[in-house]
Amino acid sequence: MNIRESISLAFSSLRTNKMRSFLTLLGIIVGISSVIAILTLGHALKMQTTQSIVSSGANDLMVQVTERPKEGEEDTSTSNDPYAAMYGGGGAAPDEASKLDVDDIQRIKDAMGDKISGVPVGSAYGGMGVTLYNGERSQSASVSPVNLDFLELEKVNITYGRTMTQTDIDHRRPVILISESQMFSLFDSPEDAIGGEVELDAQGSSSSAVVVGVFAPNTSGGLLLSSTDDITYTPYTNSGALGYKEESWASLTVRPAEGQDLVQVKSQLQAVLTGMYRSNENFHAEIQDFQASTDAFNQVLDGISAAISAIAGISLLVGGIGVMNIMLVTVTERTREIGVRKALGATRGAIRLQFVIEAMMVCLVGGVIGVLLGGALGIFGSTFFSEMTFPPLSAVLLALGFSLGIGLFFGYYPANKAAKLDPIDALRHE
Amino acid sequence: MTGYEYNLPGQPGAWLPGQSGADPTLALPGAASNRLLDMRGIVKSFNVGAESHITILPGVNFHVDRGEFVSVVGASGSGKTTLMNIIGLLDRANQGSYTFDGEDIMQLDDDDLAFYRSQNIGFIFQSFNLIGRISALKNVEMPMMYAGINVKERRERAEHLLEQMGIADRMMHNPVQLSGGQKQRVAIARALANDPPLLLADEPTGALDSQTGRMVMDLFHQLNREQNKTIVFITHNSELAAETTRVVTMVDGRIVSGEDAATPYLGAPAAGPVATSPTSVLAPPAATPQGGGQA
Repeated sequence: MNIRESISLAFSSLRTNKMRSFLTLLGIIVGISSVIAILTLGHALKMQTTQSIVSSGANDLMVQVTERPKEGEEDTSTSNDPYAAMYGGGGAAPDEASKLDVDDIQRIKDAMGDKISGVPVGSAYGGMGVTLYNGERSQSASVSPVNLDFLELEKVNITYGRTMTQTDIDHRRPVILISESQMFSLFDSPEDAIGGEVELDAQGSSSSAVVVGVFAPNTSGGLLLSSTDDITYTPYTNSGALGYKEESWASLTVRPAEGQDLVQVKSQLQAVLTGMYRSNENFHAEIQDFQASTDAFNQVLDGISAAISAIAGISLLVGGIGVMNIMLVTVTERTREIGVRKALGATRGAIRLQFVIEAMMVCLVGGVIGVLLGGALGIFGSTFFSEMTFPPLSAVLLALGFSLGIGLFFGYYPANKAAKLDPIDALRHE
Repeated sequence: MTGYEYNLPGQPGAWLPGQSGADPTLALPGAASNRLLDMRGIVKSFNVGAESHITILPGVNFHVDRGEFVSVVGASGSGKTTLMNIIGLLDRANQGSYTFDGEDIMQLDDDDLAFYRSQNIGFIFQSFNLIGRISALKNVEMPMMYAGINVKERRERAEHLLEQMGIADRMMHNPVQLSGGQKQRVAIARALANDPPLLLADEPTGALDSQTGRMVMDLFHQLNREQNKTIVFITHNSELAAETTRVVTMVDGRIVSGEDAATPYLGAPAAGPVATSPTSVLAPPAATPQGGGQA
């Protein structure tokens, strides 16, 4: 009695009771397909998010100017939470002379060479809320003062006109880049927009600026990043026109070049910064990175994915109980067959194997259908917020293995019951 | 007994090879050196220790020599089905000794018994007991499957046996599509699958009409004569029993005739009352004339 024989017997009995087999399979199909669909969607979400984190600078190093710890005091600036520093935690605000300015940026770039791909100034999330006016037409916007590194690294995609130039920055030109939607609400056509003058009204202070370029909204933001639709970019040297100065910074972002070892870049940058602040008694510059946060985020995402899968897995348990139930019915129905088989030389092991394999086949067939169904569902679902994502191979193997395991677990008891039948009683069974 | 020469209707003498080479000198009964199975003092009780304790076989001596065609007759409840179960190694005696082909059967465990059964005993049941959802061919292959014979060999042999039984054209049919006589021929082919020395037939004609029953009896005679199969034939039908080489009659769990003086009745066992009711739990299965075999 080999396994192949048992498998073909299992399929013959699956065919014999088609409706019953289908209903039994249904429990497994529902369970497996929901697990696969959830894992596929989770995978798509994770890939998408990781991609957008990386493109938005998850590898960025943040240089933070902080107060030097006084003698005997604990250094509070080495907190591992970059967000605390970002939002004003960690000691007194640095004075103007201790902040980092354009010359410092240049020094860092010179020292780091091709280890870094740039020092972006500006925010992809917007800056100061303003209202743009073109005569009667107005549009609210969020002005982000930026440098050229920012536009390059954030891949701001100019669709009409030109991008910002070094000359714009050097000469503090009042130029702006507006988004396509802003262009359409302020102007009739791209031709009108380029070279057009708009008023920037920032709560009392008002200035005018010339539109030099229009950029397409960032579509690769995924779930994490909001659209860049409402953002307007202007040279950071023009920020004075908006009523605040943005030419020296208490913190800067340094983006390591692709493929560089983050730890190495970090230590080299720290050396550069230490040199720059050697003579400053009150302040020094610390580096923080977002790696820990990224890891934590991924962990949370994996955890959520696993938790939802586990809930979906409960339906697998119900499916497994259904399989057990139907196997018990099958054993009762086939008692006489079991008696005949025993009379003809089947050992207990052979009978047990036959029924366990039958249960496993039911589950495997359900598992395969479930993987196909859940995979289709996941692939279809993923296209709504990401590019088409296929179920991860590990999830497919896990699901099939799990369905076989359910067959083994829930099939063993009925199979053992069959194996222990007394041949005489079984033969006499009506 | 040399006068038998049965042929199937429409298939005169063509369905068993070597028919003309039958050796009438074979199978002389009573040759002690030629003993296939030997049972001494077999006691079989049920519900031992309970109030419903019942002894079906109080101490039976029974033997079969190679080449014999022995019939066991008796009324319902006479214990012949219990005896058959013990002969067929489906059940164990509470006391006594049982040697089959010189081997002490009482020493084997359940799985060993299963294998021993598949090698040495071919069962033929009243209700055929074919498996309904697989083909006749697969049914015949089944004992070979459990005996560990490879796929190709067992298929060839199953086809050959079904040809011998004259139903080669029906081998891909499921049992439900076969008539009673065809079913019993498939069952006989299945019993022959592992070429066992002993065929054990429990009322094999009970579910068949007299003409088909006659055909099955002829088949047994031919297997006995031409392939030297030893047959133990359990029946109600004393006419059919009279055709066999030896008739063993059972009454109330005792063999009252057919066993020779060399294997005398050894007396009642020490424990338990002897069953006296013919309507005991061991009444043979009710006849299903339309044919069973659906497990």
